[in-house]
Amino acid sequence: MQRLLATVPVMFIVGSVIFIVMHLTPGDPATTMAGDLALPEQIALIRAKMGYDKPILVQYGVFFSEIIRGDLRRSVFSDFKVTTLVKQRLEPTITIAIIGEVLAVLIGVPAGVLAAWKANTWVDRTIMVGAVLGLALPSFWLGFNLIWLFAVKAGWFPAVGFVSFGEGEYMDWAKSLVLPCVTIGTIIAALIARMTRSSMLEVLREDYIRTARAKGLSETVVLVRHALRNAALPIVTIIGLGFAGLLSGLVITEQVFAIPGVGRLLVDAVVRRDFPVIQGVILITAGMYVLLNLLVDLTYGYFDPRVRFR
Amino acid sequence: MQEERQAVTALSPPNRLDKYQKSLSGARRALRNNPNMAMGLSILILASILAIFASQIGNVGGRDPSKSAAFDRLESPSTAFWFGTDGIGRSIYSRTIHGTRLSLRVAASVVAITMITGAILGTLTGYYSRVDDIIMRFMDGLMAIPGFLLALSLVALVGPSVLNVVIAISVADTPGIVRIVRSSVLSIKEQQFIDAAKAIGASPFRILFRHVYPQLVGPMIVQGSYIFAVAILSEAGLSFLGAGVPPHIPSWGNIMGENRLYMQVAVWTVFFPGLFVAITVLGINLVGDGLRDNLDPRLRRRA
Repeated sequence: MQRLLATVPVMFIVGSVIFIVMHLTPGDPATTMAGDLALPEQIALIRAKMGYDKPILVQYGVFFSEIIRGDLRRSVFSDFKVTTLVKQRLEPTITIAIIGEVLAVLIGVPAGVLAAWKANTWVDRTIMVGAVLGLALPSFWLGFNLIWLFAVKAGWFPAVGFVSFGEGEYMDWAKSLVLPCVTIGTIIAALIARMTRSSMLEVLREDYIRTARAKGLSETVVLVRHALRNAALPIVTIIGLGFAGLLSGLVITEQVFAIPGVGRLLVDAVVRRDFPVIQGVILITAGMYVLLNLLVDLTYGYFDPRVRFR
Repeated sequence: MQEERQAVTALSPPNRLDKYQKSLSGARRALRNNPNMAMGLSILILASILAIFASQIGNVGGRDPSKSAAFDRLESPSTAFWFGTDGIGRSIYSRTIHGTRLSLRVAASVVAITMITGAILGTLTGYYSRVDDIIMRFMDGLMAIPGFLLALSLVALVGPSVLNVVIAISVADTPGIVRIVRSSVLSIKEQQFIDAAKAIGASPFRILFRHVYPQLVGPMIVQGSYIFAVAILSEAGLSFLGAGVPPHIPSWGNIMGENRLYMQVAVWTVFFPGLFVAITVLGINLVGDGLRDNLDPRLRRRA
């Protein structure tokens, strides 16, 4: 609970930064939003409606009172509330984010452990080359190639679209998720595998690992119980940080697979210069990111009891 | 005074010439021992050649990045069109080669901007605790927003142009550099040879340039190489979403963005530009990893 309260100032700073970025960027947002063919009266109307004609400090105050009340303005384009829009789009984004992240952990951690265990052998090299490759692939390109191979050529999965959970067959739901989740998971998995390997290498050199082996413990127990647990902190950290990459990747992946998620909402808003929506989505995403990293901080205590007493 | 000067020399890192010669022979050894890094470097050199001579290499046999031919739309790869053609009959080969120029230019500019602003802000915050809080809180706030999303919104705010894309990606990537510079400055500042230098009356500028910055070169180069890779991916992503470089300038990202609707019938329109992105980023990462292994003293000891 205390930790949760500690995120309040962090969110205040994040909000301020977003406000500063949105309001101090050169150029008049009302003019940009209205487009090239707008009349001066239309621009003035937008400016008044958005409150851009008020002094900057008043705008700053209004901005925060809106956040606290959870009322994030309306889209200039559709007049829906930003919160409503985000809620409508949340399901596919959250589903893909979670499954993608889980997939990444399930691939990345064992791969990293294996690479560290078999350090400097061909197993290690193959895994690491794979990881460097995974980091180099642009997510949308990977997505396109997967679509082409598995949807267009093989016809195993639908090329685009998202089937909501409980709407239609479960198989359709699962099938529509496979390609986007693999796309998003691959890059994060590469990141995790690299971190796992280097963290494990460091731990495997420790004396207590030699002791554990000397006690005659099986290699699996040594690796998982003794080594991985001690190597976990940097790995968990990178999983948290990788979440930023995941959110960024989602924006692009949703575009590639035509999934109606929050990322699509943002891209559409960018194309339509719908500033309240852009601001709202960025704010919500940043909030999610901060909360997730809080969660990551809390797991430190589980892996390393010493952290708990701080 | 004389002894103090000697003491400073003894405690400070070896002088520049020594270091330079060492790093040259070190580089040769590093490349010999690390085939991955040599491969990465070759990829980068090749990409630079493509970028510099784009108008020659990309226009072989009368190919032209903007020439469209109504009868050659969505042609599959052939001897006439090595990478096929796009929806309005332009040569993908030629556009991709020309795209190299822009992608590398954007990435190089981003690296230059983030390095310089990162070094300035990092030094300020590390050296003068008065500004530390304000700047670092702002940087923390920026870091809480996923970088690509930040860049995307910034481009939306100021409008798509090459310069704006560079600035947007730089804003998103600078906080990381500031942190690294700041923490290094903080730890170097406390070391004895800095006290010694202060004792003989060296000015803050002299201390920074003679004693602090030389030690930052290693980590900065490594970080710079990763930022280069991130910048290429970000530019491709932004342009792909239509929030990047204006469409008349070919870039790897916008070639893919323009053609994504044809993707199911003409996979080559997206495949080749993406392949160039992937290979280039791979090259940079290999070089970055190699540099990290060589420049990070902690890792060197282990090897």
